[in-house]
Amino acid sequence: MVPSLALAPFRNGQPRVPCVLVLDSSGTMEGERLRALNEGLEILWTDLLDDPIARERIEIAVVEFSSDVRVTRRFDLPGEVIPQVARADGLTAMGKGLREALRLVDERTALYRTIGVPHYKPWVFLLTDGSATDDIDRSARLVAKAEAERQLAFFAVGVGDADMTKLRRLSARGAMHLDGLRFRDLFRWLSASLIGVSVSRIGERVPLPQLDWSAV
Amino acid sequence: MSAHGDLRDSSGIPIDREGSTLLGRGGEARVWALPASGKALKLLEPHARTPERMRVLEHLVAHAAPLLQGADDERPWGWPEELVFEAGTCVGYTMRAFRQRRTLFSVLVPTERMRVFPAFDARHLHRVGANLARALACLHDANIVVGDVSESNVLVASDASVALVDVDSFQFVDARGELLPCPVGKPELLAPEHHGEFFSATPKTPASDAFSFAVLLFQLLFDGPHPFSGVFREAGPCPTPAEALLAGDYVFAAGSRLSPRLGMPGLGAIHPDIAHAFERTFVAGLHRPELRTSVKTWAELLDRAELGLVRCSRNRAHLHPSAAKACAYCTRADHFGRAFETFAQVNADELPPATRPSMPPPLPAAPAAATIAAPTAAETPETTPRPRRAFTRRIPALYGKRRAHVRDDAAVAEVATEPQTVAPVDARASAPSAPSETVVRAVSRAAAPVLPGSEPRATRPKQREARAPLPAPPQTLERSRALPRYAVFAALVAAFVLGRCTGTRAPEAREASVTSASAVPTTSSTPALTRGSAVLRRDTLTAEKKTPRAPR
Repeated sequence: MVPSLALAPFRNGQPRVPCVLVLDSSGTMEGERLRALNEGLEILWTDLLDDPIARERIEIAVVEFSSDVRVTRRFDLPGEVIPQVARADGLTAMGKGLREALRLVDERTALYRTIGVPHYKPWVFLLTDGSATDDIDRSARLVAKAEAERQLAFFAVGVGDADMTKLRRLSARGAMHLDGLRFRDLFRWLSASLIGVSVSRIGERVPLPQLDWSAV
Repeated sequence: MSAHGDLRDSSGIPIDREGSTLLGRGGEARVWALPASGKALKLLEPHARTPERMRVLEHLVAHAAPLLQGADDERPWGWPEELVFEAGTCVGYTMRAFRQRRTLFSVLVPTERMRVFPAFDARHLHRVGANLARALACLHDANIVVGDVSESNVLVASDASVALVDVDSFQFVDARGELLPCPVGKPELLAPEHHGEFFSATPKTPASDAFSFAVLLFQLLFDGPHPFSGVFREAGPCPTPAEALLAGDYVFAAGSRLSPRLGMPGLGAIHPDIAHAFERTFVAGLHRPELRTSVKTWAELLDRAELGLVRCSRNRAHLHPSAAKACAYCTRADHFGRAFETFAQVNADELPPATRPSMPPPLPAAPAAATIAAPTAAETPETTPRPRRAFTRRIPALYGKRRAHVRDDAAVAEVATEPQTVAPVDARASAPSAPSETVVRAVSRAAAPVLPGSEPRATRPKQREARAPLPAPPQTLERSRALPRYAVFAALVAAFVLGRCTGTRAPEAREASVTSASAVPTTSSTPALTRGSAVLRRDTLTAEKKTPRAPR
């Protein structure tokens, strides 16, 4: 039996677009980069809340990874609280972060199934400025498997000195490199893409907006 | 304000855009309110300004007069009134401005509805449905099919009146007698006969609108969920609403693989007659358009059901059918908690009288069923009329994936071989219509000088040729030719299944199917195919429907 508290967000009767942001909060993100990231998150939030259909359908979860992994926001429709990365220090436990993200996705889609909510393909959006300091191979296999089964759309974005070679190996889609500190454009692109998905039909392939923030 | 500069109407008078505000935007256009004239301005994005679109707009403006007369609620549609030009190119049109309205989406989503129309109760929801049904019926009487009835094309006001917008995607017959098809649609709202490869070729009918209407009405009355979505009872990936729709998994149908989602009000929330009308549309009428509840019947049913609503004794904000044993909304609140209250306000006011759109004189009648079938026959890309751009964008590779699916193949084959798939539009449509005043006016407008920005004259004869109905060969022949792959496959599967499942009848069945399979490219194979699909499909009602053809 699903507790009614968990059920309450679904009373709007709408299908769901689940999206996990897997954000690097290791020491190297501190300073200007973190500020730009938080500004980007604000833009994402405003855009989602401005769209009448997106705000009833898109569910965002946030996973931060540094020396350890923290789930700072569980899946929910965009609400009043804008997710922010409070501090950045420590190492880059990217592998663990990704596994946590995949676990959240599995848990959420299982809940959708129990309740009977149709959903779109889940998105996992990884953002990092470094190189994984833990075991990433297992996570890479999990991502590849989920992508191959068409259960997941995975996006990896590298910032600054991110290890792009390793990032590219994570996904068949490859990885993108963020040009400078253009987090605004990145998150504007993310919101436009998610909104595009939320008004599309379930199962349809949606053309994503042009990437103008990336220097691949 | 957008980048648009000097806008003028067809007589060259500048459009006053002083203080205009953006009312809404979609993939193809933006709509602005013009305070100076009290009108709305729809500006097409550059990619949407195709010659086909211009032709449609020209025709709509030529026919505007009868559909623009009368009071506002007698003409609940945003009919194009004047074309708008920029530097000689048509970039959009002006229409009536709809103020203080929300899209139907905001009313379908209970949480959003509580925000924007907090006073709405079950009466209002019934009334919105009835008003929409009446507007559709009115258009059908004028030989217009909306085609893309969706939650974003319907605007609702706080008095539950509705208005249809995106008139330029309606399907109608132009002054030259050619069918201008509706090029867009969302699969989860489209009737099964418009799914798959046949999308562009199958003309929409009033029964297609009735199907889409029923899907929206279901969402309206049951707090949002799609009628073909719910808890999947079987293992494996849950079908999407569009897939479940093709497979016939209506949540309230006997034998459906889907059961109602948690937190949805039960069938007790609606009048038994409405429940029955849903069942006719989603079960018996799923693949048989002529069995669907028509929009006219819907309007009557909903009016009657609205009058029969009684106030719940436990929660005065709830209204339920008088016949219901218990209030479905209270039952839900008992189960799932108060978070599921979707009617927050007790509204004791009388509703204003229902809107009754006036009947405009009919536009040119759609060609009779035989001519309508012609585009279906024109399967090859060379002869298919070039779809309008919106179509190519909105119906991409989705179906490539689905084609691998046995069940869907069978469904598609069944749709295509069902001789009655293209329902005769209606009595009026198939009867030769008298050349009304409208037609005469249209013809004289068509003979008038070409409007600036419309397609050059030179290209017209060519297009007319492409659209001209082909000589109609025997229908069954054309239809089976349109789907050799499905037909062969379905027939083989049928032979296999019949051969395995039915002991004594096996040889006969196998013989029938094999004959049909070998005969597919040239002749009809209806009996074997339908029998095959009836076996494949687990939907009992469809199987029942087919049994007379498969004598036992």
